[in-house]
Amino acid sequence: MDQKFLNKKAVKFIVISAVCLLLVFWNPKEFFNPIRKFFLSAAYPLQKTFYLTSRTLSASVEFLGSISELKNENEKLIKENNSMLAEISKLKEAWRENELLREQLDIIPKSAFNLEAGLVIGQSPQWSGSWLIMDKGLSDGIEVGMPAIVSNGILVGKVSETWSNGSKIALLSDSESAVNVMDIETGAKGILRGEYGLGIVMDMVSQNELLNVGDSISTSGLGGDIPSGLLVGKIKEIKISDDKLFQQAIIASPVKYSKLDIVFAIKN
Amino acid sequence: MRIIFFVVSILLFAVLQISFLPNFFSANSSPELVLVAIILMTGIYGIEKIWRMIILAGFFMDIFSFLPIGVNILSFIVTAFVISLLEKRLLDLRGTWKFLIAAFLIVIGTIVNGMVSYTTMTIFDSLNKTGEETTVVFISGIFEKSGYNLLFFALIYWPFEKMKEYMDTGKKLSVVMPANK
Repeated sequence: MDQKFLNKKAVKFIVISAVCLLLVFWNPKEFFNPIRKFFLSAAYPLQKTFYLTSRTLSASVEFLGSISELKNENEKLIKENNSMLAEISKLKEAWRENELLREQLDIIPKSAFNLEAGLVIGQSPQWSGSWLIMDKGLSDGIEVGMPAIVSNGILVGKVSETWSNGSKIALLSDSESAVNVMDIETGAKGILRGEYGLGIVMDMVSQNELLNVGDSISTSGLGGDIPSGLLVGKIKEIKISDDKLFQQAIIASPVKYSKLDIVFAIKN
Repeated sequence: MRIIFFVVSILLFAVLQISFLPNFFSANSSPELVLVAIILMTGIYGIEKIWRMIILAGFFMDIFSFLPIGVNILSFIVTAFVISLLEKRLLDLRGTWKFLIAAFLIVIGTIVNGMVSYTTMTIFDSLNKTGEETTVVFISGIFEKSGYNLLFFALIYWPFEKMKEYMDTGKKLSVVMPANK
């Protein structure tokens, strides 16, 4: 009897596994997406509550842990503040020149973006994929493809899915992310790709283009889906691609994706 | 009542995994609350009694993780099957031995679950996206994750035992009472 029961169990296991594999590789999104959106909409109040609570707790824990570093950090900040005062007058001149160039190049200034602010209420828990959930969705005018930035114009990702009261933002570090970018200092152009949620790389840069460590990288506007001039990060390291045809630059984002509280979707 | 309790717990654990834990743990090592619950339930009740619940739990995790439907269902079913082959029924054990064997099953289950979902997603993403870095991240993440899963298991073990005793007592009373009448 035990043997018969084992066979039945094994058969059931094989059948279920086969159905699962079929579902995974067939991936009928059109069938499951409405179901997913229903559950996400229903879970929204819980998600928001849990996320905000955990952010508060996490911030408290971090604060307690950082008390010993506060004195050193304070001294460092005072020094930085003093040196920044000297740069303000230089920046005023740069601002005047920037406005003149925007007029000439017809680039939309960041203040002219139609932004929809949203709270972050969830994050990707697994190594595959890198995304956030925002608490604004279709009912707030959010559409798939809209860029997502943080308040000072730094691009963090793009809206990849949206439902009535929420949206999923695929971060730049997602392995499926690809954004046209350029080196602000040298004009070198490339494609920014994500690396399995771990970091971002500027790829497909021609060998005869110049890249320098420390250069700032922004969106180039090519393709038309993301406006130009959105900061992405700075070059941390430069290397040659595996096929030796292109240069690659590892980019350090000024933003820590896991610590985002509020993101803005650009609606225009 | 057990079914309702299980479904509500799984939904709650799934939402906690997505919305509460990421602020305390990195993406690769966040504890898998649903997986720990599945392994515990399999060890105590056996896969033949709860396979439908396992499928439902996998379905909820696929929904909330934005993974293709079937990835977590498959990894949970395979994990539960492996656990059911390995375990002595935890009902037969008492005290420290029961706890230690359950802890061992949690570690094995975490590794099996990770391997199955990693393999499925690697094939799904197509082979040329898989690189050495991903494998290294996956391997280091699995051991960290096992540790955190063990920690969560230690936290829920005693309340889970008490809840199970309460439910089993209620079941025994309902069986005994008709005979007393």
